[in-house]
Amino acid sequence: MDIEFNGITPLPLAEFVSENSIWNSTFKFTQGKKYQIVAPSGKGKSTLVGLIAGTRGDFEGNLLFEGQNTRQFNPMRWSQWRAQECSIVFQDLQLFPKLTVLQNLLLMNEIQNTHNNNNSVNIQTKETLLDWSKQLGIDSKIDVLVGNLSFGQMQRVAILRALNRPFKWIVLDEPFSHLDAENSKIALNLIQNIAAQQNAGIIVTALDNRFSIDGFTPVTI
Amino acid sequence: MKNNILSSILIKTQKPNQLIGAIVGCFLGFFLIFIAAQLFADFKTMANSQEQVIGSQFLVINKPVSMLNSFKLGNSTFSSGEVEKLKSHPSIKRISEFTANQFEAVASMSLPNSSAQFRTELFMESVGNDFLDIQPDDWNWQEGNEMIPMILPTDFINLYNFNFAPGRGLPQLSKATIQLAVFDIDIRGAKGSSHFQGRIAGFSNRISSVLVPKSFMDFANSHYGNNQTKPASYRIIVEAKQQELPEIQQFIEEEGYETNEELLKNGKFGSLLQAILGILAILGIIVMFVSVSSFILYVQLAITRSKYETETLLRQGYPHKKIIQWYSKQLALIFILIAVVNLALVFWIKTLTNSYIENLGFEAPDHLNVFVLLGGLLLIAMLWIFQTLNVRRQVFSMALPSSKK
Repeated sequence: MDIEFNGITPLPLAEFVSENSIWNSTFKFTQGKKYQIVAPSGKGKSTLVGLIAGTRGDFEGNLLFEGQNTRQFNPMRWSQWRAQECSIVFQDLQLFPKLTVLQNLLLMNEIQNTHNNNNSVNIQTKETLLDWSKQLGIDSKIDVLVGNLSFGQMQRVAILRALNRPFKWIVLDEPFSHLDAENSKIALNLIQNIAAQQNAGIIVTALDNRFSIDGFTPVTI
Repeated sequence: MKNNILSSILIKTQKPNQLIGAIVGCFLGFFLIFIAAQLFADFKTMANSQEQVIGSQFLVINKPVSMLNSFKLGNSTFSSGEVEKLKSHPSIKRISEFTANQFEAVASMSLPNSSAQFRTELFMESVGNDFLDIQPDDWNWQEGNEMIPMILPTDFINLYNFNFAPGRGLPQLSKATIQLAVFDIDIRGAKGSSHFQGRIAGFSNRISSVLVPKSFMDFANSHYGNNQTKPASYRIIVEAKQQELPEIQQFIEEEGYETNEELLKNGKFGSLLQAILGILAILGIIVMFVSVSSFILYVQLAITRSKYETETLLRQGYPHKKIIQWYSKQLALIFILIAVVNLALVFWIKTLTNSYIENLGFEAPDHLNVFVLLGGLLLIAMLWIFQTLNVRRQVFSMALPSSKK
């Protein structure tokens, strides 16, 4: 499932669109490939994530998922997209602060059940989730309320939640901003492994090209 | 299971005190309108079946009897012109003329095991069945029937039981006992005579006369009666339109007729009571409107308060329909709670007021009024549907990409 940007200009950015950007031009993200979007603040990185997540509709042009125009999507189609096709790590994480880490992760299993689609559903067992959280160094926090964690710990919970579902794309908005280099590397490896298992594409945004990631296609906006 | 996670996410955003306050407010609004409607319905039922509560809408009118009448110089019958004038009065719904017997009638009864015999001359009247306050099952007579059902004024049996019987050392008689008795009726007139049997079919509070079915009266007057012409009416019963007794009273005074003043006073009191209950009902509706509006506002506030949680669930792919269903179910539980507690409380209060009313000597219906019950449940169901649609609209808009950022 490819994601096509077809002459898209977000309305707030209409006056600031520069040449050689994906805005107001044609660009295709191909499933299975990895993209890194690098741009300073205000260029529309989070806007791009919002467009793909279906939270923002304030744009001109057309956004196509596998050739289908998202303007024709109804709420049910969007919920299926979000639950089983495109996993998002938002910059503000969007976790449930009054649930524990484990409850936040298991919520995705509940959501899969509501979609009643048992084929190819990638529901992780509690053991797998514990193993992942151990890899990212937050296994000791598994029963702590998310609201009591540091932002860096929350970022790792959000990444794990994004991985706990079937997806064809995983889109991460500055996911490592509060992680040290070591933890960033571990997290990136985990993401790439799981994405590769499902032949999923990856889109990562970052504030600057402090580190450009090996194997990721840079995209300018 | 599915709903548990929604509950733990969405309910945690709510403030329990506000929720309880909103439910109690909504409950009180419905309760006021429920109880006002139920009491009003009870009052109406009692008013229709028991005239002593609000006074009759029926008046028996006659002309005053003066010295002239005693010397047969005056006439206290109603002319056809006067009857027409009554019929066409705007405050009068309908009228019926009393027909009196134009023959002699004698009732007699032999006591068992005794040669003693009760014997009395009878007078009787008939009036349209629609004007009777009781409708005995066997209140009919056809040519060929020997048995004549009769209705006596309740005052008769009271006079006998509380005045005559104790004074003479006779046993007091219940209404049921009297209704078992069968007596002989002998009729004699200019054109012949005949024998019938009589039986008491019931007792009337409204009309103080010995009543027989109109079919019998017409038959007997034409077969045995002393006059050829249609008998003139001495008394007329009129049914007043609701709340219009005062106009009729004025009319009666202007025409110089007579009626039972006590009934008129009761009628005015009934109108006043009805007006007060009406004002209470309007106040109830206002209070209900305010409390229901505040509940609607509360639900909107509740959705706004859990906006982050709802949006986040939607952004993780939680189907919007399930979220709407969850809200709808919670609202249904709240409304079922409100309805059940309301019904129980209204029924309980009704039981209390009933025993009070019965102590006063009235009979109130012992069940909830079916229209009040269905109307109340319909009102609650409509509010639930309205609220669910409201939730649906809001969640739906959160589920789609927003154009307002």
